Amino acid sequence: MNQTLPTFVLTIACALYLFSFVLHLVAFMTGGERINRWALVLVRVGFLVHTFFFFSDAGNQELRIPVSNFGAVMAFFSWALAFVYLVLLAKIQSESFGLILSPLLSFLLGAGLLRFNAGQTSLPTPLNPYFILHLGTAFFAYASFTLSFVAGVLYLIQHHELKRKRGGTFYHRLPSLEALEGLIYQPMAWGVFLLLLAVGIGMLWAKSAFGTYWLWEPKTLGTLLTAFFYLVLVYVHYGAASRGKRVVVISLLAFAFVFLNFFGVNLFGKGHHQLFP
Amino acid sequence: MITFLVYGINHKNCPVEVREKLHFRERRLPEAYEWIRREWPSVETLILSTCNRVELYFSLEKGELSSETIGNFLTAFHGIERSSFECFAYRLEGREAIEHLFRVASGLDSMVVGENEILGQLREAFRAANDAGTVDSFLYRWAQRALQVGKLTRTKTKINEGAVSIPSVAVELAEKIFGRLAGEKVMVLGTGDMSELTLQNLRQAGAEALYVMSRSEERGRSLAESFGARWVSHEDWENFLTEIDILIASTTAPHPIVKRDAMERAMQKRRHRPLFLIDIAVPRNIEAEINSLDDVYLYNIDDLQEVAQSNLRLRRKEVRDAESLIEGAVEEFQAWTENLEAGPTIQRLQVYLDELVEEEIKRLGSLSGDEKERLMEFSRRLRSKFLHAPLKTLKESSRLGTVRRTLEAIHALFRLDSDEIRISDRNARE
Repeated sequence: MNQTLPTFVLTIACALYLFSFVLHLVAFMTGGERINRWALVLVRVGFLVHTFFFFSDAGNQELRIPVSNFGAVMAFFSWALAFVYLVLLAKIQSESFGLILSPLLSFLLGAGLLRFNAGQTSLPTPLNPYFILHLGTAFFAYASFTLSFVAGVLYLIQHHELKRKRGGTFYHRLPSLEALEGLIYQPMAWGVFLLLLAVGIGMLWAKSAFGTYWLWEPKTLGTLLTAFFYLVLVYVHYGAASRGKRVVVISLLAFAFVFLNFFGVNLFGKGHHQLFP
Repeated sequence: MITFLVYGINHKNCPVEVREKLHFRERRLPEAYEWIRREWPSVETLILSTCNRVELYFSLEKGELSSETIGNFLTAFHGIERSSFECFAYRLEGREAIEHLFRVASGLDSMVVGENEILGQLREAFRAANDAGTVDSFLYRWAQRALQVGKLTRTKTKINEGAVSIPSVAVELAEKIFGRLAGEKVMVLGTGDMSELTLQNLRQAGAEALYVMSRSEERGRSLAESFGARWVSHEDWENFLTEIDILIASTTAPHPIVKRDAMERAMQKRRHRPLFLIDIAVPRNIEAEINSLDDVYLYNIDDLQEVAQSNLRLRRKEVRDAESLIEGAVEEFQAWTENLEAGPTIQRLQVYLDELVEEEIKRLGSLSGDEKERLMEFSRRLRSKFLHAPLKTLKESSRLGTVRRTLEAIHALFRLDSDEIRISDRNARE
């Protein structure tokens, strides 16, 4: 299998995200708006190159959703993250967001590249459309929760700055608490919707593949727990039951579920959800 | 020779008592310009008079305008002793004067660095001088360029960003908490001037005045009415804490009237919806420990001033960038004026050369048509090659600001009759 072109394309995308981070950092320190605009351009170009990877990879794989090994999972997850930020959150993007997102994207992609040519998991063939949809919705849900987490961290930084009353760099560069709340709860609401959708589609796929709607596995239970936890948070916020710092802190803690659910499956034993060796 | 000149006093070293005596009131400006047109008909003049500065900008093509003459005018016009302001007055000429006006327009010479008001004041002063007919080509171009530079420094740098006054810092902080203000509810405790001003600023930014609490019902109702708010008594104002987003406290109470316990209860009822407390009273009206409560952001007068200072420090960081923009603009403007000054000399040099060639051709006697044609071509080439080096030098010295020295050298070397050509034809120049 010739992996040269996809690896090369991903390396370029990773480098673009990294350069974007450097520019974001310079803009953050100096307050240069033009530099910030260039940083955003680099993330966008990186995203386009990243998107091209799936086409470059398509010829090499039977599966159009590349989740056959750790590297491919990271490539797809970071792409989903960039997609949610650049496309779905286009209207509420914040300049300071790029400062955290761009290194995260390059880190995820870089980590994936290190093990890009590792062994492949055998995937069920022929591929069921439910399976593809199940994977897609789950990845986008996790990407949304990750963005919500990043916004939560920024919220706490701005909260701290406002309490400190010194008008420092973060105070000036970060958006308002209100705007950051939007960046926390909007992706969170999508995440909940997508995760529940992923569970529903997964059930349909399980029925067609294994003859049962429900597989008792750590990941399925973890996913339900994650969706429930976030659903409560979304209700608390939009139902105006409570607002402010405490709910944001809880939302950050809730991200531990996402992390464990996404990566921790290997720790709890092997099941149908083990995507990569 | 064009002279740019500024004479004036400003906030830096001149006390306000003197500044206000020299201030040109708007209704007396036409009278001042009338006097100037009558007494100094060949001088272009612009008067910039604000609460922080009184400056007279001049441009002269010939002659001089001494500080004494200008001082006498100010003395006669305002009816004050010259000695009372002379020690504070400054006089700048040429490049320094050009740069000064550009700095003034950019807000670098203002009390609050980067403030925007001065640009509008300069625009207004320019319009008044233009209407009075004391502005012609040179001062027109100078003032217009200054207005452009003022705008440029504000768009290319962040010299005017960040709030630097107490009411505007309050608005900035409110926007850092609630985003763009859109109907956030405000309650005011007390009816002081500063609280009124802060409320006014918040309202202009989009907030809504909801309640005014005052022990004096009459004063409270009057302020509440002027903002479309409701008066509440000092006994039950705490009941309304759940409805508001911003609280401004500026009563004359000698002890805190907003207590932590009450605020804690209110925050429970508010379900931790953020609350911004502005305590501009001295002594303070709000217990300091309240700031430790989650989602309550308490700023007293010192905190607001600290943020203002931080913003001012940020503005000062932009000064260097603004100064380099101004330097470029000054050089460009000076090159333009020096180019104008060099024009007549170049013309004279060309005439001098043409006369020399014509004289020498005449000496050769009668020539055939073909020979004459070739000689003319030869003289044209010689003329352009001969002028190439001095023209290049003049261009360079225009850029370096040494054109006058170069012009003097050319005049001395070729004994050009300068009197004929130094009297410029303004139409030709433009």
